[in-house]
Order: sequence, then C-alpha cells, then structure tokens
Amino acid sequence: MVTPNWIVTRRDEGRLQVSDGTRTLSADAVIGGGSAWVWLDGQLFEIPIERRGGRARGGHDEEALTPQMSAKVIRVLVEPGQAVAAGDTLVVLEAMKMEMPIRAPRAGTVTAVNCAEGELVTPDGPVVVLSL
Amino acid sequence: MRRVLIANRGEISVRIARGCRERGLETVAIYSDADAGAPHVSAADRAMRVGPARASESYLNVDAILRAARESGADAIHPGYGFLSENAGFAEACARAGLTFIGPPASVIARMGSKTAARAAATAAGVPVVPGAVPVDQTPAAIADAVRLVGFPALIKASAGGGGKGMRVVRCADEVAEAVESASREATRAFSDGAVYVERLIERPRHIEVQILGDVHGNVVHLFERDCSLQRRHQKVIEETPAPNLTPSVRARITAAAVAAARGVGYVNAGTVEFILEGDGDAAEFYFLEMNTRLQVEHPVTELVTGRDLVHAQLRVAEGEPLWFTQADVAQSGHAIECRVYAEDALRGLLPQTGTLFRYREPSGDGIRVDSGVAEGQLIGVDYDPMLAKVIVHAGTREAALARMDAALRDFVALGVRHNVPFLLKLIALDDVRASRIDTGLIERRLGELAAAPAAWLAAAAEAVAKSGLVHAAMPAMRGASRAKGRDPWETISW
Repeated sequence: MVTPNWIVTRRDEGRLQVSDGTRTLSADAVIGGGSAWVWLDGQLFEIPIERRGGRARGGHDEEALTPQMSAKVIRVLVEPGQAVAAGDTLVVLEAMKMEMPIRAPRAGTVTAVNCAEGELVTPDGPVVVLSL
Repeated sequence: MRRVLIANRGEISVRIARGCRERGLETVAIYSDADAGAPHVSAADRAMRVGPARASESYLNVDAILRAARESGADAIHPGYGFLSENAGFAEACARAGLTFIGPPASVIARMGSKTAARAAATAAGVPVVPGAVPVDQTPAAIADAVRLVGFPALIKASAGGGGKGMRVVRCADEVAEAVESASREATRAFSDGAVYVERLIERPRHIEVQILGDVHGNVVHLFERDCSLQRRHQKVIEETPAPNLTPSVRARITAAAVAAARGVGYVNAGTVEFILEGDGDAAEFYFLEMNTRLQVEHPVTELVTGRDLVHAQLRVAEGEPLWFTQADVAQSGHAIECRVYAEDALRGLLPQTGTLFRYREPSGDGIRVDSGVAEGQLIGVDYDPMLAKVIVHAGTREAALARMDAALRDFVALGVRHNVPFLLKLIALDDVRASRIDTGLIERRLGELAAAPAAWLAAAAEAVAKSGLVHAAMPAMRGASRAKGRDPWETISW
C-alpha cells in the first residue's frame, strides 16, 4: 500500500487544512502536555511528541509504572534511591472514590518519582520508575 | 426573594445564575478549592468558598452552605441537580434557617425519595407501576401462582437482591418450577435469604419522562415528555423531545398520568415523572419508575420545544406566584435533542479522563445552545462528575435536528482531555437512532461500533497535522494548570 502524502497548510489561527489531493479536511490542533491534540473529521487524536532533553524511559533494566486511568495521588510512600521489595506499595491513587495502590512488580530501586500527593496523574506517563 | 445562593457547580450553576439575573435577582455561587477559578464562580455576582475539593466537605456540606448563605445575605437557595437537590434534610434545614428552598416541600422530597413510598403514591393516584407480585408464602406453588398473576415474560427476583444475583427470566409456564428453584438457591447463597418476588419483564424498554410544574396554589401542568432511552450504565447520554413514535393517544395518557402522580403528592415547583414504555403504537404500555423532585440535566430540550424557561418558572413558583399559563397554552414546536459531552474515553472503556483544556471552542449558530461550566485553560479533575457541557439543538423536524447536532458536534473543539464527542457523533449516525428504533439497551448492544478506533487513513492525516510544525503551543495562562498534571508544555518541542 502506498502511504498517501498528506499536505498540511494553515487556514487561520489554530485551524489547519490537511489534504492528500483527493480529500481535504480542516483540523484544529494544539500542543500541550507533551502531546499534539488534533480534532479532525469528528475524531480526537492525542499524538505524543518528542521533547528535547526528555529522559528516555522504560529501558530493559527499568520498569516504568503507569496508572491504568486518570487519578489523584493520595499517598507517596517511596523516594528516589529507596530499595523496594516485590509487592511493596509505592503510591496510592484515588479515582471514582476508589483507592488503587501502585505496587512494585519486582524488587528494585526507585529511580524516579514523577508525582506528589494531591496531584493528578494520567495513563500517559509513569508515576514511578524502578531500576531492577 | 432578592438574592439566590446557588448550591451547585459547573454548567447548572452557570445556567441558574443566568436565569436569576434575567429575573432581576442577585446571585451567590459556592465553590470548593478545586473550583476556585471555575466559570460558575465568575458567572455569579459573588462567590463563597465552602470547603476543600472533596464534595462531602464542600458541595454536600450543609452547615458550610447555610453559613455561606447567611454571610452573603442570601434569602433563597437553588439546589440545582445532584448534590443536595433531593435531600429532604437540606430542604428542611433551609426552611429552618428562614431561606426559601427553590424546589418542592421537604415532605414531598422525602416521600418520592423512597422507592416503595413513591410506588405506593403512584398506585394511589391511579398511575400504573410495573406489574409485580409478592408471593403470599415462599412455597414453589405460591411463587408459580404469583408468576401466572403477573404474566409472561416474568422476572423472578431475590427480595434481598442486587447485581442480577438470584434473577431468572421465565417466558412460559413450563420454565417456572426450575427458575423458582434456581433463583431461590442462588439468592440463599448470595444473600442468605432465599425469598423471591415476581415482576413483569419489560423487553426493550424505552425511558420516557414527563416534565411537570406545580404552584403553591394547587395548579399542576405538564410540559410534555422527553425520551431518554439512549443510556449506558443507567446514565443518560442523549435526550430528545418529542419522543419519537409516541402516538397522540399514548402521549395524552402518559402526560395525564404524570400530572395525576404530581397532584397526588401535592407537588410544587418543577419536577419529572419517569416511566418505562413498552411496545409500539397505541398499544404501548407505560409504567411509573420514579419521580425526580428537581430540575433535570436535560431540561433544555423541553425549554426549546415549549418556549418556557424552567428556571424562571422555578423562581416564580418559589415566590408564591400562581401559574401564569394553562395546560392549553403549552404546545410542542419542532424537535430538540441534547447530547451530554463527558470527559470519558470510548476507546478506554468510557473511563473518566483528566487533563487541561488547552483549546476549547463551543459551536454556535441558529438553533444551537451550549450549556457548559468549563473554559479554555481549565483543569478537568477527578473530583466531580465528568460532564463538560451539554450541546442542545432545535429544528423543525427530528431529521433536521440530527443534522444540526452532527454539524454542531463536529464544530465542538475541546483539546487536551479525551472526551466522548466522537462517540456521540457515531451514536447519532447509527441506523437505529436515525430510524427512531431506540431503547435503553441500544448503546450496550452497539458498543463495538460506537467505541471503534478511527480509520487508519484518518490517523495518518492527524499524524501529518501533528508533525507539520504548524501547530501552536497552548497559551501561557495554562502553564500553572498543566503543572498540576506533573508536566510542563513549555519544555522546548523538537521534531
């Protein structure tokens, strides 16, 4: 299959036009929170974008722990450098009135804690990174 | 009444503030710490903090709300919907504090809040309820008698039940004995109580509700029906009026039943009588479900089709004014549809989503109304209901209203949090929705199609947009909001 070549042009502030020669669609887009958000033909796209200075995450000796859903951090029980055992609770989240612990899948050392109590976290990024 | 405290948040608080201002009343908003910068705060003349983000300590905190009313000099309270709106204790506390509660009397709220008392009140008013029977004793023979009395198909349910446990459908007499035994056995295991009762099974039910309005002088009128059959997990998604395919004779009967139910309990102010409807044409049967003693989320569709402002009506009734129009003055004109826009991702099991609204633009134009309580730059959190806005359209016919809704939703730009607008667009395009073949199970049956991922070619086009280098970063004002998410969009972006 030949990948169609989509040509993007600016229509006005924030509004873009995208065309492959046969189809022409208008799009609204903005960059925020590390993603490009695109509203196109009644569909919403969140496309992660690379950031300069962004830290590589989730290498083969690292485990990035990401929540299943958007939630509020109600307790942070570890700090970077701390050794943890498999099954240890690292962070406790709350969403829809339910508490959800994030536990260590294996023993390791905490290399990063990307959240603080009271903050909101989303499935788009790890809350804790462990080195195994 | 001079100054109204609105004991709510979000879109309904904004909508009530508008209604109050149009009636020359001052408004007081309340807010939790999570809502300090929310649009409903600036929509009112003044605002009072009532507590931290947690609803139990703020929007449900009766003492704090009454204190806010006293300190702001409010003489009336509008509860909106949800939160304390159907809490009889709150209505009573308002009365004790010398505040006008904009809603029905506390005694009516309490009576309608109890399922059994509400069912008894409806029956007393001659309003049909779902046929059911409690067996005189729990012997298999007595239960089988109860099933025959109710008719087929019937549902045998555990008295102590819930979650579908101890529930059996029986479609003919031959199935009764075995169903009674297994339902009772399952109920004993699940609830240590084997008692069962019998109810008629309503297949492919529609949810039809009737808007009513009563004054303190004993007058009650209805403002016709709404069809709210498009639901998932008992949450309404799309509401419309007039209800499609409702015959004039069924409409006349169901609205009369709602008025009778309201009169029967001495109803005052705006309220809604909910029914389930079964069957088609003039043979359709309806049964009382419950009564909501408040303004409904979906009240705008009724406003657009009847031309009556329900918030104005609530305020006038609360001031003791007799109804200023008769039943004969109320007519339905055209067709109105409401879509509820939720921060929920259909691709992820419709779970609530959070994020910052980096860009937010509502559709507008002839026959388009948007009731919302969010603004660009706002952080959508997890503390409250994930509804962002309601898109309501009005047109001459249902077909024209659906077309108008399609255009309006495509023009609804909310970027930075995943939401259900793509789901809504697919829902209004469904063959069954277009052809008015709707019931409360439709969304669940068609969820596969409704939650489908976008086509690959469209995803490729979106990717091209994202990587075009022409996309602007969000406004600086949102920096603080996005930091709460643990991220900073102002890190340099490179491709």
